[in-house]
Amino acid sequence: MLVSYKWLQEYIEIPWDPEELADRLTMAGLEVEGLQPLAGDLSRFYVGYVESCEKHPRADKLQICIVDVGEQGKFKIVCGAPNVAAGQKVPVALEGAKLPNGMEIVHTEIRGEPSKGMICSQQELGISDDHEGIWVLPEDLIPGSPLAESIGLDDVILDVSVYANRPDCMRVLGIAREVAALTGGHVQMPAIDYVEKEQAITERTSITVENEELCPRYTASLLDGITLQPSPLWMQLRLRAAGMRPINNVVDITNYVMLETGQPLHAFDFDQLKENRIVVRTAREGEKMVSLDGVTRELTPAMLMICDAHDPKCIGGVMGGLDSEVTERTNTILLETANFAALNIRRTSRALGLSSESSARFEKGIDASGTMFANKRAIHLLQKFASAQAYAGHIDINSVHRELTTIKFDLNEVERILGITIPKKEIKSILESLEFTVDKWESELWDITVPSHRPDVEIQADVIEEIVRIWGLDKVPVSLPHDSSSDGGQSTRLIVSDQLRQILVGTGIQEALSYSFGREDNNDRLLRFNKPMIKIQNPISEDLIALRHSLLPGLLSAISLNSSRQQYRVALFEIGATYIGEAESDKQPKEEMQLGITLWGRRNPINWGYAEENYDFYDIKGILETLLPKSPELTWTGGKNPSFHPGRQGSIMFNGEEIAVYGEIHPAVQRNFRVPGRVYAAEIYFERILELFFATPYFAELPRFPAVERDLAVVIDKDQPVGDLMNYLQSLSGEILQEVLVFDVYEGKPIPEDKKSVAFSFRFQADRTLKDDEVNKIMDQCLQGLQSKYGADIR
Amino acid sequence: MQKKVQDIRENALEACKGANTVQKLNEARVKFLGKKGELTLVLRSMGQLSPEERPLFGKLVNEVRDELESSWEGREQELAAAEEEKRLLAESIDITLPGRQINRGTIHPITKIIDETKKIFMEMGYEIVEGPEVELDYYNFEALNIPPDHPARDMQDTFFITKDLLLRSQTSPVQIHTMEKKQPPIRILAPGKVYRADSDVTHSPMFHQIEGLVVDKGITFAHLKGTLQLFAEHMFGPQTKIRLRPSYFPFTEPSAEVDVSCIICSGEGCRVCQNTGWLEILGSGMVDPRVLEKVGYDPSEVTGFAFGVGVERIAMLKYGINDIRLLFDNDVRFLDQFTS
Repeated sequence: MLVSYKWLQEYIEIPWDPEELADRLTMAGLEVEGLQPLAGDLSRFYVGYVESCEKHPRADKLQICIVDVGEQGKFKIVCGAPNVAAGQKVPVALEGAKLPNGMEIVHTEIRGEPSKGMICSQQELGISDDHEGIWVLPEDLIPGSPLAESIGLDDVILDVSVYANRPDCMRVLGIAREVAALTGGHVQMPAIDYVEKEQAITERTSITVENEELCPRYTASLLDGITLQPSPLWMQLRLRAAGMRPINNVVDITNYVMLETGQPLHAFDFDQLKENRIVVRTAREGEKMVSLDGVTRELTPAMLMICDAHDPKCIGGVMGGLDSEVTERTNTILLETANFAALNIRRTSRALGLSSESSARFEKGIDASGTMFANKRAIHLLQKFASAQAYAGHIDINSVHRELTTIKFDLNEVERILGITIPKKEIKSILESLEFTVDKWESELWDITVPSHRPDVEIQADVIEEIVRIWGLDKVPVSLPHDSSSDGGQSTRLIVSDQLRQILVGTGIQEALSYSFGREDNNDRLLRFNKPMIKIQNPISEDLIALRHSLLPGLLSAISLNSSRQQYRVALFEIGATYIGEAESDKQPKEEMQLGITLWGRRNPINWGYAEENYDFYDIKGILETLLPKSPELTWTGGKNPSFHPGRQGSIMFNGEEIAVYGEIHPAVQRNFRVPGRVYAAEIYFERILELFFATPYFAELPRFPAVERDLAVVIDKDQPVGDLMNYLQSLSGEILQEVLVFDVYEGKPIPEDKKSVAFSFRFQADRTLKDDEVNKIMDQCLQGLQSKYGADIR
Repeated sequence: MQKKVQDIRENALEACKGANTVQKLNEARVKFLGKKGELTLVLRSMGQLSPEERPLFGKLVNEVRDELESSWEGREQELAAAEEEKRLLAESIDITLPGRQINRGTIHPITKIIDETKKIFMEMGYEIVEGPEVELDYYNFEALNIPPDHPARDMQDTFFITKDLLLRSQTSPVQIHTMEKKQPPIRILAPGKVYRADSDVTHSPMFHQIEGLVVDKGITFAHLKGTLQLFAEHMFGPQTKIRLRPSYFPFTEPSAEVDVSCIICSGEGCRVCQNTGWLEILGSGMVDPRVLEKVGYDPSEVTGFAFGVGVERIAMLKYGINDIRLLFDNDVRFLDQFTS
């Protein structure tokens, strides 16, 4: 909410300049987000008196004015405005003045006549868009006095952010009360006196409230003799300061009183109300109304309408109707200050896609006890500035019978919650400055009565908050909780996640983070058809609508982005949740944490010392071999995942459940994600094997005798998996054969085309010196086995 | 005879000194010290001497031989060293070429902030816990004192999946899950993803929060202040000050926004802190007694404090990142900047 510093000063004495006030309010829970001067620098702008005005001898549309600027002297100023005339008080910019648009005033000549200054319009001063002519100022101003001070432009606007629980601060008087609590001063309430006509309002009109639940209170007055004209300058300036456009005195006064008291008001052109009466009811099926903004609104029976005897005339608390708007023909107005149910206003406003200053206030809840005050305040102003005559009395339909909340307040709670004692007297004075009533204050158990404008205060904790925010959070000391028996640490899946992250970073892969939601067809794009994902009802974009089943779409999209940005190598991993569940159900999905890895492009940095090689299948497999626990319980087999190349993928099983799939991404998937080249990827469901990560290492004695190493190269069929041979050879390892490794695989001449050569390296080791005979015996056994089982030929 | 030995010695020493390659040195060695070398021949002619002279002569020849042998050895080492030096110089390479760098992995800046925060609080005995991201309305709102139709649960802010199922808009539901499962004392930290329907330079539809909760007998607002002061000092440096401003959260009472002294200008005022000298980094407060009651705690027995840190906000401040979307683009040129 935008509040004028000067306006606040009208109700409360402020011992601080605007900066300090902003700071104090912020530290008391009314965050001032900004301070803005109402007008720019207006030094060298003065009030001037137009002594004379003559036609320019060489220009039809220009006038030569002699302007008396008091102590500053008299100036000859050429003016082009059609409304300039002798006898006016006007704003004058003298030499050296700088207009808000940056233009500087200098002595000049216009069509041969010297001109020493400028008579300004409101627009030129930067306070309105009005450029119909120069700004004619009130007659009582003194020529030569500085302009800003004379008309109240030397004001500062505070942008106060009001929290949802403090609608009572959506008004200047509410903020004034907060200031009073901080200064210890008293709020001076604005005048509400006026003279009534003899005839009573009840003789002219009647109010019927059919739905008291949605309209707990409806207060109305009736005024006639309205003269529609612009509102006084100070009021216009304050409305502008609050971000509202001045329209005419009646509309301006309703807005002004709303800003002042927080109570929205509505003025109906009484003669446009059929049968001259008001019926507050919900809309009938199919009813329509044209609102003030000219839009035809389709109403529903959930919406509360202010109607005349027949038709809706106003969407209660949201916006008035066009045909009962106050116009120049209006003589009599019915002035409404009502209270509406917050929730219904919110729903209506949302259903119509229509919000207003009024609905914004009602939505947050308004103190129903304030309707009469606001109504009287508006009558006071209407009488003063629109020559309105009020009929005697009000019609006040009030179904609110709320008793004020009383809270039993244990004084010891202050220390128990805050960790510090605050003097009893100080607490009492803070509460009273906020208009709480304190009873039994001699005891330790007070009865505190909450004022009607603070429904947010319900329990002791709320009262403590009130006390401490005024007393000052900065006065609360700093300490630490005593040691408790709760122990630190984290869950196994977090420990494993951290561990995986460290290893992957060590292998040169970068951690990525992508959105948990993506396109609805992401599973289809992965060729994993008929797997509907959980969808968000109100997505911000169709690209962010479905909760992911896999980390691959995010990672593949990242590769696509990076490849389009001329990157040659993208190695990424991501650890995050996937969400598997029924798309339509109310049940929470299974959130499984997974690890995704993708490798794309060059294996090594571009460097003269590296071959220009791209990642391949064995890179991703090797990373998994390094990353995953070396457990015999993990079975490495071929894979059948549709997202991967059918001939280049593997799967890892644990207790009959797949815990990882890896390999080359299927080219169709790559096309779907617009990734060129080839991607090697893995999806690891590590939550299924958490226990394997916690195996404690067990030390094996280091060998004391030299090892014997042997090599063996064999030629086998090209499509014979080497893994089978490895498994066979490893099955022979035991007492002295410790390790079998593949150190070369070769295809090409002189090996026949349908064959390949595979070279194994054997390492024998025992706790004694090995004899050639025993090593040879096992080597023979290996060779014979390879020959008989796999048709291997020795090379 | 003795004169002859002396001549051989002088000639040999000169030849040794004059040899400038290992090969020439060896040739000279054969000439003087070889089996048919001059010194050997002189020794063989010893028969011509009288038996009395022989031992003296033998001794002389042996002394000369020893001297020459050691000269040869010294010279040989000299020449070998010089030749190796020459060979090594010939092996010179271009040391200005770049080295064979290895790929360096990086931890995402968001993870870095979470890790740092976890470390700070684990040392204070906090347990790191998690909660579901797809959450029931009850945990995200109702149990946190946000009843139906409260403005804080506006459709515009929260992503809904069904009427009762939503993407959590805050990590605060983890407070409820924890308190439902456990009795006080409670000291937890819950980092995680949260979601709100908002997207611009400073808002992302997915972002991260870190929730802290301490519930025990005798926990006060002063403890909250002390804890957050410690956190700020660890995260932003020992000079960091904090400032608490009263605020409003439905599930804490009293509530406070927490500002830290600007990490760019140390409170002097700059563009980042909009000349206020302060940066807002988290929300906090004493757990509302109504929340404690909802989970079956007795608010007259125990009290608690809670806080929620915006991870992206801290990462952006700490690393000077000016657009939140960079955090989720996964542009490797961005990720490369977080090596340390």
